Amino acid sequence: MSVLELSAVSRWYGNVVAVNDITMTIGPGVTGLLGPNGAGKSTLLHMMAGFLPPSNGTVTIDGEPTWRRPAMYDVVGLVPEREAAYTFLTGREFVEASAKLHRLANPQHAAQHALETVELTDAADRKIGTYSKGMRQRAKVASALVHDPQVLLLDEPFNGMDPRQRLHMMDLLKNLADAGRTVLFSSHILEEVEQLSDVVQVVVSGRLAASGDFREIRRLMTDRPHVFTIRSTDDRALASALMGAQHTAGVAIEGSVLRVHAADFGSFTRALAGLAREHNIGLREVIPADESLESVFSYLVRR
Amino acid sequence: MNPVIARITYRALLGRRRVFLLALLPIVLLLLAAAFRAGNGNATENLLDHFGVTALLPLVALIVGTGVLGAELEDGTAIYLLATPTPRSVIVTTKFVVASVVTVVFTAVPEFLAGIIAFPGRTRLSLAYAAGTAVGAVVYVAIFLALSVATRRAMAVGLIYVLVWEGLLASFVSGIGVLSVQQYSLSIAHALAHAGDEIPANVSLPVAIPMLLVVIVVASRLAVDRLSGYRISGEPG
Repeated sequence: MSVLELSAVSRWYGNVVAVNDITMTIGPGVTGLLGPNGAGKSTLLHMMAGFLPPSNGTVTIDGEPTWRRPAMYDVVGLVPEREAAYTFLTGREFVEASAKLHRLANPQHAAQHALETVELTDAADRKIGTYSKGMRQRAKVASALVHDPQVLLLDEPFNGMDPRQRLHMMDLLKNLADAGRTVLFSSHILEEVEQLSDVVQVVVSGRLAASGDFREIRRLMTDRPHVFTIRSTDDRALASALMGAQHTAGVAIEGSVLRVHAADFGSFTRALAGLAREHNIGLREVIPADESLESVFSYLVRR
Repeated sequence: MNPVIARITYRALLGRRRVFLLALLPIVLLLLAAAFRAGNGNATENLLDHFGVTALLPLVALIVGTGVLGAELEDGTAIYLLATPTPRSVIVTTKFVVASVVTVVFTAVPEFLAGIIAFPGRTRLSLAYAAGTAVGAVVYVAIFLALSVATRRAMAVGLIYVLVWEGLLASFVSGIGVLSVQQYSLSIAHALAHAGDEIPANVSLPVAIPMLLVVIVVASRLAVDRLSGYRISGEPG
């Protein structure tokens, strides 16, 4: 069991503050690091992974600093965000190389096991250059898992994966957590974090905006009023139908779109499709006008 | 020296298009040698020195030296070596050895062959130039390897260094010769050649050997230190 600890960590680049005074403890289980693009997630992850020194504060794994300590990678596995890979190696060669660099007793066996874990055995003897984005991602994960690390850090691991691969990766990370591993992954997609992690660290503009149980944070996020713009086959009929619905706070017809104020994000989005079908109206476009993560997060920060 | 890293480095280096670029200059040298032989083949220094040691050697060493590690740091694949407990000194040493071997193959070997082609019967001269080139290759590689870890513009900085420092200043300002890899190469070639072979060396062997060892050690230590503190690029994200 390993614990990752950040204590009053800041990181700045010249005048730009990327991470501002963050303190958090990440223990066994799956932790999601959630935040919009540019929030400082990658900077945090790089500091945890020993690829960036904090400008201030300390980042430790089991009490030892992560910066300038290669021995740390005996217990840490890292899945970087960049897609770069040794395209001239086969998946198996790549994972075996990682096993050998970790000085494992039986690298071939460890590599085979890791490839099975990420379901990449069928393509293992093909060159990585021929892999799809999702396959490359799995090869990276296999390489990070090959030495069975106590701590696994993943930077945006679901990018480029199709839904089935995504589910499989989620199962994989859950299993690791159940086995007592400390798994931390970053994401800017709410649903990914919701499905996978119990504990969430929300980062906005370099600060820790919320921290703890996901359900509580989710409630804070979804209970707030939302604005949607909607295009449909019959905007006026939909407007009148929506006005009768419980979760609508207001409707305006603006040119060729409907602007709807919903009282509650979750129940409104669940009710909308049924309502449209009931009135035989086709929905062409439903855009949550202020649903950019930035606005969700800034709402959280204001609270 | 780590065999896994060595294998990956060889494949990365020789598998890319870079290998054509690497082969280009030696081919030009050999063609020139053939032309020398067909014409008036006395001006040894024009071919083996001015083209071989002054141009071919630093340019090939630059491509290889900045390529073995710098290219991986640039495209992000180096992370897979660095996120392992492998000591950074082992990574640098392995890259250094691989780059040295490749550079020697693409410089000293063609230098020797060019000598044989252009000046038949003067094998010792060809060997002397080839040995000087081989030693120069190792020193240049140490410098360019360190440069590639120290800066993202290693290729540009290296090119300026080769053209301005080695190409211009070291040739014309004799005091700078003590700090010129080209002069170390010529010094070794001079020491190994027949007394009658005119190899223009400005630096004596007892100066050149300790100096080149110092350069290799300092450059390698710098590379290890910079690699130990390697940071993933600093864009906030």
